[in-house]
Amino acid sequence: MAKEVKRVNKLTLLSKGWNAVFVIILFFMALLVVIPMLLILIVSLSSEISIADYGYTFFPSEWTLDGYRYLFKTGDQLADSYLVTIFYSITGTLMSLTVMTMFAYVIAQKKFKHSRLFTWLLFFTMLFSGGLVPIYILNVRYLHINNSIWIFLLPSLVNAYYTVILRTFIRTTIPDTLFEAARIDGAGHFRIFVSIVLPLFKTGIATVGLFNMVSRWNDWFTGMLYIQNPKLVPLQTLLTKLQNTIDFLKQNAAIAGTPDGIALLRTLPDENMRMACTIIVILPILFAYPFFQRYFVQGLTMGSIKG
Amino acid sequence: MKKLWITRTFAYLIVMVMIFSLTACSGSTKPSASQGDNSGGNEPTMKELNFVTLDWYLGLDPMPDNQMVNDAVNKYLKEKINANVNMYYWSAKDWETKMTTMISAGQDVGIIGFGSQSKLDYVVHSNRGSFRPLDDLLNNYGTETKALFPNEIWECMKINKQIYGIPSLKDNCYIMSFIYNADMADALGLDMGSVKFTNWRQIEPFLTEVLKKRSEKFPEYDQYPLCGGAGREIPYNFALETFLNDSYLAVCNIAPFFDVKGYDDDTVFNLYATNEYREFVKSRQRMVEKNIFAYDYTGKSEWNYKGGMFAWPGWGYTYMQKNLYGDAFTTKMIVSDHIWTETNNYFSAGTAISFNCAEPERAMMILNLVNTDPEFATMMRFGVQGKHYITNNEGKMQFEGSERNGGARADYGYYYWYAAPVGNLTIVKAPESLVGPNGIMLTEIKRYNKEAVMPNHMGFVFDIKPVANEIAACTNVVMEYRDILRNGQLESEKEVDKAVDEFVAKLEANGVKKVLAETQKQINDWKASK
Amino acid sequence: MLQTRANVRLKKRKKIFQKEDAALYLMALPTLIYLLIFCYVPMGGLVMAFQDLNITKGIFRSPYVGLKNFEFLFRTTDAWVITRNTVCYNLIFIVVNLIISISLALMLSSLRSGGYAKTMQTIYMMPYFLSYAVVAIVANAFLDRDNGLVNSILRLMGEPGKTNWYHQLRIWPPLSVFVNAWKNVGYQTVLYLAVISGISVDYYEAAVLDGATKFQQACYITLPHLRYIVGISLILSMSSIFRGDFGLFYNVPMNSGKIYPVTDVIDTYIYRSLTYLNNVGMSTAAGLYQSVVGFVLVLVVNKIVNRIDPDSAMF
Repeated sequence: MAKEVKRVNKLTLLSKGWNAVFVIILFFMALLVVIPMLLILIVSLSSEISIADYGYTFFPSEWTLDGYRYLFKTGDQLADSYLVTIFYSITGTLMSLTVMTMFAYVIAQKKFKHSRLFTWLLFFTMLFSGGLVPIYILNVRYLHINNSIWIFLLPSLVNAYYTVILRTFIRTTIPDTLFEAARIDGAGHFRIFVSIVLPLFKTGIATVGLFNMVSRWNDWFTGMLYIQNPKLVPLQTLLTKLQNTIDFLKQNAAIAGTPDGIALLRTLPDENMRMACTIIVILPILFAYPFFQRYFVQGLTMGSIKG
Repeated sequence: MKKLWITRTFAYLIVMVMIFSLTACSGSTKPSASQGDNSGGNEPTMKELNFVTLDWYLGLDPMPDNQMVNDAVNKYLKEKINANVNMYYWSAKDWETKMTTMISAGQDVGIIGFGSQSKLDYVVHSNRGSFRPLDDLLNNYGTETKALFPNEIWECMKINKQIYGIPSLKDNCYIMSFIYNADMADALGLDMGSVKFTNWRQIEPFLTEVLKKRSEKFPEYDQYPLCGGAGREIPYNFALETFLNDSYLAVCNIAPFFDVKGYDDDTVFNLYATNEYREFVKSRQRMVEKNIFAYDYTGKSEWNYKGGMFAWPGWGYTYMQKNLYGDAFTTKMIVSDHIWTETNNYFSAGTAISFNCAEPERAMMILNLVNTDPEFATMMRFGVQGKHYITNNEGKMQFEGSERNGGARADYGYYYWYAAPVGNLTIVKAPESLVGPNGIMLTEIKRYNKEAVMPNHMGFVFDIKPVANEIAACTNVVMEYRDILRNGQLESEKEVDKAVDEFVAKLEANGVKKVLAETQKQINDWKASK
Repeated sequence: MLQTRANVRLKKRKKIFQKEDAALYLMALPTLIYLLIFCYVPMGGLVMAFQDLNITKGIFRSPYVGLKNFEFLFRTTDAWVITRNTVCYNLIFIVVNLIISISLALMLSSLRSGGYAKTMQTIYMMPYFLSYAVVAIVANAFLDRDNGLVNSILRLMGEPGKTNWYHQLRIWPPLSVFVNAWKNVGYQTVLYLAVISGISVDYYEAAVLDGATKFQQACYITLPHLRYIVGISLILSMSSIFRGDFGLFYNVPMNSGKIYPVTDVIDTYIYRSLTYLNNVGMSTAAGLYQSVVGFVLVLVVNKIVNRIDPDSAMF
């Protein structure tokens, strides 16, 4: 059996010529990405003087670790932020996935009389929102979840976009016949969900899980708006705060002539620090990524589920 | 039918919930912060005061020792008025989103700083009811603070006949100065004593001359511009009375300066449509071409410290430290001969109390203290004695030798100089390196405040509501053109002419005439009612 | 559907499904509660779009001003420009990103070396994690007049190399498309790869036995399988057709006014107008306006997609 599969796979392989062409194209596209990233890395290691004199360049006049040093001065704070962010990214994603996959299953049922209504209820919220102020009032005044870990977990529990994607995955990867066969056998929806649907659309779950986790990891806004407790400050919020002070001064260069401005200018973190921030935010994702990748790696090697 | 009733129920539920949320969210009621009860009608005597905690939001960047100083402040306040404060230091970007959301959501924000640095517009927020009226509180608990300003200034602070904020006593006028590199001036043989400085337009010929000399004597400095940026129209280049924030669509001449010919000091006009503005922008383009000003000065602050530049704009300096930009050279300054003030200046920094503050009396007491007690004011700027600064053998303050602020400024634990949002600057005790021998800077501030020229419409506040749309549209146009024009980034004077024509035409198309007419009308009404 | 015995039996068993619907309601319950609390209740705040909000009076005692808060969106000579920019850019972004990410997904999934494909795919993901502020800085490293790489290279080649690229109107449309694609394509590829990986190998085996070339396999098997996800993505993107990519257009052009005609979108206009005015009513009105347009468009596009292929539609 394995031999046959191997033979068939060989037949489905790309010709060497085309493969080479693709390899080259993909390589150039990778260069397009790698070169700017390399620049970021180099700037994070350039000195402030070099940046002022020569701008951002691949060959700075002076190298330094100051950017990182300033960043790590926040020491404990940085470690706390990492921990908090990792915790709520993982927990939040798990919670979200649980709730969203169940709902996606429900609205994927074509025979369910309310599936259209539910889809509408979900989708409507994607379009219309009361805006920041009502949500703020809800979270702070009525639910009191600001300044606690729940602010990261609850308001972002369900994302309409991802739920619809999940529904699409369910509908396309799980054929109707499977559903009906199971139901004829008398299985309840929940059993079907757990034992048949979930294992089959692992790819979909992994994809949405990845997207979900990344958006939580990247979120600096929630932390900025709601968190006072330094132990709960997420990573991106911490770094964005550091970066924003620089922005403010840049935009107000004219006011830099005032005593306040000058004092600030000299005591402030610099360009290289801003780039260092970016680097330390990306690194953990790059480490975690292969974990997700193996779920859709089948898409990368053309061996896949047998129907 | 089963189908129908389930759908109907859902619909009803949703409608019910929305109605319920409407009534439940009865807007701005209970404040969230402080404990302790409100003392009701009677003014409590010092003995009766119960312990309360308030929030104080400062538009200052956070520094490492914020908590330490907060504790010290709390100790001080507990002794004096049995209260504590939670001080929140937020940087400008955070402030913009967070503070406006919190205020719009009706949160109790305790004591807040307002103004340009704090990014809370005094007029907009007073009109919107974000602040509490302070008239009674000032009379009962803030008499010393009230005495800091003459009555006419308090009249200026009135919006809809009530005072909503306490301006910070600092340089409450536009003290513009020409800061220069004294070492280079000597090396180039310049007689700085004979140089007159009015504004950055007037000094162009002098700068051109200096540039030539610098090029001859120090060609290695050619890569550096001659001066740091001074692009803002007002107050660096024009002395005019403004009625809007951040754009000069409606301005008025100030007697005796009359920076713009053809208008008296009672007529409102659009600065961008004047000939003087056109000439100003052309001169910027010329100067940038010659490298008197840098084409793009942002992010190049390191150049200031190298010693290759000659001059910088100063705003608010009444005393020039010997080494403003590090040890490479000495700095001196020439103060402009045009010193003026206006209503907007008093709105540019101050403190207010949240409209639903749980402890307004205590808040006013705290504000009174920070504006009148030198110990408190100094603590807010410089932190704790011993840790952040020491008193040397001559009895003067200094940073060197202190535990937290001894090294390079970049490593300071707590340092807010000026800290305009905090309050009265003139009572702060500061080292001589900042305020000069015998605190001359602070006494000079008071003198300038007294002598500053007052415009004709001191106390008039423009209500933007009737023309809010036109202002929004015109502000957008201003943002489109002003940076490139005032930073001199166009290729030639012909381009400048073209751009200015476009700019003015677009403003007209977006209703700037309506804005001017409305401003003029309101001014005339205001004058008539005086 | 084939008229098998199973199907016939199914029709008779409709009644059983109704009992089992209880499990479905239970499964949907957490989401429904969430939607109620976190989405529908705050939606009441939309009334602010019609109010002149006074903080002391609160949301429900402030005076109503009808549609006045919406006026600023239309009373500007730029109203057409910003709308055109927003919609055109969004449409182009959708199409370009779609084409590129599907092509990438196809190429990656057909490579002989899985390791190479995996590495490449990880690399393409990286720009997604950069904030637009950082992207703006990187772009500046290339476009800066004095120090940027483009001008430096031009100078090496003998050109004067003094153009300020932030003033050149013509390069910004393609540049914006490029930056948006650069940032988002790698991420979107993941979605399509996930779908491709779910396609049963049987289809390909059968195709190979029939003598189909790789290209034909892609056209007749892979692409059709992608149509569901593409259809949904298109409809979902329609809902935000009036929302410009604020991060991109606010940060990357470095606030250069000269290129506003090609980089100003509805969101940046709103942001700039309201920075000083600080009017929550006006910003809510703006958001409502964008939502309503998106809503109408979704309905229209959904209807169209329904006609073409009902399975790909939302509703």
